[in-house]
Amino acid sequence: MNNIKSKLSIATCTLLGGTVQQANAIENSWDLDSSFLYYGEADDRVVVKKAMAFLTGDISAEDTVNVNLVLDTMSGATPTGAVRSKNSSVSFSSASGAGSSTVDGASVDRVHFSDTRLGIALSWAHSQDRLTTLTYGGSLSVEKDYQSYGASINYSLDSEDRLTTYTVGFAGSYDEIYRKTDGTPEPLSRVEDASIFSNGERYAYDFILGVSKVLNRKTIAQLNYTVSYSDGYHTDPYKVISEVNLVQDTDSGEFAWAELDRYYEARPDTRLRHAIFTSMAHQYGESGETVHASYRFYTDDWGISSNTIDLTHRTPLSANSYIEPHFRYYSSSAADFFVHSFNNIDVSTPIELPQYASADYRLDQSIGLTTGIEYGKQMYGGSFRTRLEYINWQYEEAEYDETKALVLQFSFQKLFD
Amino acid sequence: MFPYIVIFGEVCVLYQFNKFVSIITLLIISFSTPSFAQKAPDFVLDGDKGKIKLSAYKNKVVYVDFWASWCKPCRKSFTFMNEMQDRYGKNGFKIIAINLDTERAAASSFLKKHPAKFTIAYDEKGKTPGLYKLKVMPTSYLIDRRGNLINIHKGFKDGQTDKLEKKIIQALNKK
Amino acid sequence: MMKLIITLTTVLGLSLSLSSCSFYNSAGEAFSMENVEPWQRDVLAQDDMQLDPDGMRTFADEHIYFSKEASTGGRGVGGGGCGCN
Repeated sequence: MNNIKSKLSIATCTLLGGTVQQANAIENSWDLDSSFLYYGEADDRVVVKKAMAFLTGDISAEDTVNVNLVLDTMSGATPTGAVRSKNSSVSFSSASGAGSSTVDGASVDRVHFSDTRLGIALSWAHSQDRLTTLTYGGSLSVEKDYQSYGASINYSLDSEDRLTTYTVGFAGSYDEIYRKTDGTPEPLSRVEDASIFSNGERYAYDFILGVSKVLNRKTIAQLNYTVSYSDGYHTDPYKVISEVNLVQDTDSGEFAWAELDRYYEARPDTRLRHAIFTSMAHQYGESGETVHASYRFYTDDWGISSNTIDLTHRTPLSANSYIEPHFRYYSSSAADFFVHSFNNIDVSTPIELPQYASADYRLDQSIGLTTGIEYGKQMYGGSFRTRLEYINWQYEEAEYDETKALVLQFSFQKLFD
Repeated sequence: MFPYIVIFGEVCVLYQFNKFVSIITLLIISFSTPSFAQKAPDFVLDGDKGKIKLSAYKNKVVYVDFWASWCKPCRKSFTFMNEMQDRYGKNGFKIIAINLDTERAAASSFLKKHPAKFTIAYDEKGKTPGLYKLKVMPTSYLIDRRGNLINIHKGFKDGQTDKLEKKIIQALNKK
Repeated sequence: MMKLIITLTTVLGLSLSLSSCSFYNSAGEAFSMENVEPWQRDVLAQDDMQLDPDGMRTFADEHIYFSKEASTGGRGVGGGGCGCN
């Protein structure tokens, strides 16, 4: 068999997002990689601290297992989708514990939260013969208001000359979504008098087809197609949409939004997504400089289409250290049902609500840019890495039109016999 | 390939004369030890102390192993080969491990971490793997005392060492 | 002001990634198809020549972008490496 360092493939829930690696045999029997990551957004928004431990080991000449543990603590304030308005008619106090929707007549457009998430993923890769490997995976992720369970199976086949690898895989997941204090609100209902329904449930099914090929002594490339179908509750039970009206201040003459009412959002019951992903790794020059480049095209039936380019360039600084700048570009269209707000131009008549609507900035037309740098060094019998990244997302119409975040990560990997 | 064509031709001729005899001949030939075994290709390579020539080890059982510093299963195979060289060296067993790194320095640093009690030959230009039709790293070729290639073992896994050792003993016992 | 920062960041990012003359010479070489014999896989066997060289980093990034963006998935196959055993 190829002693493999195998991770789960197919991203269904947040935990299934790795890559199945075949031919790189593990020298020692066990490999423990651990990491601490800090993610912090500007303007007192989201802060996430993440601790990860990934253990990989050969339990026999044909079998490799992976155990991945993740613990996240999340806190901060996140936009609800409501419009910032100094003049809000919405004055109730939310029973869900999300706080009141107005303070001193001004709308409260962010909600504070604090949560802890535990994720566990297990996988077992079995070599049937020299050229084929079957990998089984399972995962679960739990936090106060969200639970996700998934399973996957992957089959990979190498060509006789080991220059080409074909992979096919299936994954399924079940998610349960609800608010911390109660279930889920009636979709597109007024926040003031909304009925509360039971917890939301969602099933998702993923399929991946991929091929990787060694192009020459110093280049390898891959091409994947993934399709995913999900059925059930896709709405975010905390997110709202403001009904607004433009008013002119009598003294200054300035125009500003006045919030007239607030509704819970509603997203469709199904989602069909496709993605084509290609990447390559290439080494050049005398000193072993390596470039990784990837491109993904994504489209789904909510009207979202996106392009993502990712580049990293590694320069060895010495025999056992390197520096690696990173750049990522992301550009996405908005979902068909994305709105900034419901603009009620004629306040005497009630507005007509659409079937689906969301003001969640994540569904808006956006551009995201990431620049980062990583440093790695062999020390204490293992591999130490640290990286710093700056991410900037710009949104076209959403109330919060920018998100800026800093990422800092420290990792240490050690091989054991 | 050619020897098989000759046999087939001969059996066809025999068949014309006596069906019974030809069938017996065919059976004898198929069950007898193949005398059409391949000769192991000869080579001359640099070693740590002068040149290494395969044909110089004519009356020994030779185990030719292809390895490289970047080949991870090779590290495990070194433990096995050290054991075999220790145990059977006195019975006329010789290991020649041909290194295929393009730079000697890579092989040297590997050998510092995994010392070898057997002979290392260096083939930076990669002439010999083509001769031996090498399909995967690592591969070992067992050659008997008459210079015939009697076993090709692709890859290396801990669980396969018993079988390999048995084949070595078999070859050493044959005169 | 923000647009200027974005443009500068993009230019800096791209130039950091594509800096060095030998990269440009090699760009054509990157895509030339060549048969690679089993004993010529020294470069391909290196850790940073794997399609996913740092599984933990990829995992963390996928989670960040999954949480903050609408698009998901794409990654997932293996291959390459030393081709041993």
